[in-house]
Amino acid sequence: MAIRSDEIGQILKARISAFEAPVVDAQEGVITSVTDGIVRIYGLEKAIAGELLEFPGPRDGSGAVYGLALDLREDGVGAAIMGPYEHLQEGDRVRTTGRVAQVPVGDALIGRVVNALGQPLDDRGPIETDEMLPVERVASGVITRKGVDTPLQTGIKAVDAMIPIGRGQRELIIGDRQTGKTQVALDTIINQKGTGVVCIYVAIGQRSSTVAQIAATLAQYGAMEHTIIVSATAAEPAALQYIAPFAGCAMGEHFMLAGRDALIVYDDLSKHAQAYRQLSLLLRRPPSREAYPGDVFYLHSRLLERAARLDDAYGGGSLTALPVIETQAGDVSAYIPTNVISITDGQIYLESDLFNAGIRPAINVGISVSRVGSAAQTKAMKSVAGQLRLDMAQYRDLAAFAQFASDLDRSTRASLERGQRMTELLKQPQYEPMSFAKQVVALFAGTRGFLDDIPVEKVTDFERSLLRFMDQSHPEIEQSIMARAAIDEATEQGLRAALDEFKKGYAG
Amino acid sequence: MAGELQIARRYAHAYFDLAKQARDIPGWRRALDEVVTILSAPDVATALHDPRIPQHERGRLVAELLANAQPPARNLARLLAERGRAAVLPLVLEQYDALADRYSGVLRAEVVTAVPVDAQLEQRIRKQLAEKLGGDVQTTVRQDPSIVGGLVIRIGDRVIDGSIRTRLEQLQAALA
Repeated sequence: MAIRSDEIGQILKARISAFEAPVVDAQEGVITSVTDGIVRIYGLEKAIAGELLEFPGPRDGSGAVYGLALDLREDGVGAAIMGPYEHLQEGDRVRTTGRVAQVPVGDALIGRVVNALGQPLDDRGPIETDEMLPVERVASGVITRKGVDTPLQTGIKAVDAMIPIGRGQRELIIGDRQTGKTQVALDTIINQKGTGVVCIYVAIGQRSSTVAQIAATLAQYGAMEHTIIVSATAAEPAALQYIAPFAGCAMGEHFMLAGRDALIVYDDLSKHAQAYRQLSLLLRRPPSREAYPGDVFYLHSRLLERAARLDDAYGGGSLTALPVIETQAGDVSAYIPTNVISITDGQIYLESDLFNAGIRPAINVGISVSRVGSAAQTKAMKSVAGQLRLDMAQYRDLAAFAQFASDLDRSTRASLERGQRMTELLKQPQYEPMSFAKQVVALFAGTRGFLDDIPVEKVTDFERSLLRFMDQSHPEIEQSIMARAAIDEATEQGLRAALDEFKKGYAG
Repeated sequence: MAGELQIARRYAHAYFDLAKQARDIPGWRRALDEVVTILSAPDVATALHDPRIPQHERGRLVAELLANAQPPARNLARLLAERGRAAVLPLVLEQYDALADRYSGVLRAEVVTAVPVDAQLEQRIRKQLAEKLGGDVQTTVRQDPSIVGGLVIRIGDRVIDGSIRTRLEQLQAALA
């Protein structure tokens, strides 16, 4: 529909005549120094911590620039600027706004790509929402919470079976560069399609091209319909990278408080810590280990504490957090990795050795844990996962030992053979998350010995054919597992019969 | 910078307390002002900051220069000079004024307008500000056509901005 120009004129006239600008009553200070995005201001006696400060805009007339009051001193304020600062000069005047940093929240954000202030970065127009939440909020208290008891299906066999994640949990994804950390997070987001879980992907300090690619990938798999991307790329000021995860968290909390389920991915907190280190050093705060400031633990603990599962009396919503940490050459005892490991409820370790050996996702199931554990697993999954965990543990113990032994007894060889097949079974291509019923069927076949006489290199093919066969010939079995979330006796018998039937016809 | 202000504040407090005891706040201010003027003369200021002159020498220099000044102000200047802090003296005066204003309940407001203000209007502004803020308001008026119209009033850190320029900017932001 075309809008005529006189109609636009009418609208503008109406808005101008209805426009009321109250007299501004604020505090004013004077800039005394500008250094790499940190501005020192003389005055502003009554500024509050985290308050938004209004700086004069660039000469091109693109409007005021905002900053965050971080350092309150006796005779002035240190602020981090969230925007261009090259035009600012000593002597420029700065005003308080009386507001702390806040972002728009609500359904209008879903499907959008926004910056750390909630302003759109895509080409889909303004974000139509009146609701705002402050970026910094205190985490839910003990009374309002309840235990994690509902699984959040990642669609990844190795994770859902052995490192189950519950709604409201905080599970760390940790590993070197190029080990598939983001992949685990993206598969999880894609798998939330149709489950009502709103996903928020926060990109901190990444390349703009990477973020664009992720947005395109999520759109391609239909996952943008339930996803918000908050992007603070490497080119953006450290102040924006610093508040990005808090902004994303506020957006997630909105859904949690409304009784809905949300999932947030912080990719990654190593870069976040670096952005905060930059701000802190420029603010002349004393550096401690690895030059990070003393409160870098609190930086992440207060962020991750905001993930919660609320009690039914408080709406029963949840916010699950998947922070990502990049290690250097597998060093998990560096400062930031140890901090975040101790804050989270478990971690998924990804290793480059496994990745290069073709085991993808490259999850080291031996040292990956979920402290919430099987409380967040369905009965069906529990019935197959227990055996799987045992098989894998035995395999790991024997694998190293078996390299030296030439002559192995039969049970040892059986354990090794089983382990090799299970490792093969846990491989999964990217962007192909599996429904939980399919996972149960595949793992059932493995743990109950149906794979033992299949050659190792055929396992992947066997699994794929099996799942196709089940869909075509016995859809009722998966439906029953889905509906009851458990394998009852009838289902188990049906499943065994179906497996026998399939194996007879499977030529390999 | 931050340190200097705190130092100045401390010295100003001490000097002001003494002035209060002597019940001669304006007199002590005049004395201090005189000292600041003498020591701010370019030659003197250079000498006072010359690191080649030892600190006790500087103290003597100050004492000689200020032979005719009031003893308390002279002593303050000498003390600062001997400690190598002669540079904060103008700040001490500034802080002294602030303390004196607070003590006597005087508020200094800067009123910025786009057009000239007659005495009657200034009187009205002063009266309304006094009602709003309480205390004795003293105004200085400055003209700045760039605010287009209206008033901007600054009292210390606080700014009350009713200028047309700011309203236009807000309108621009609202329509953008």
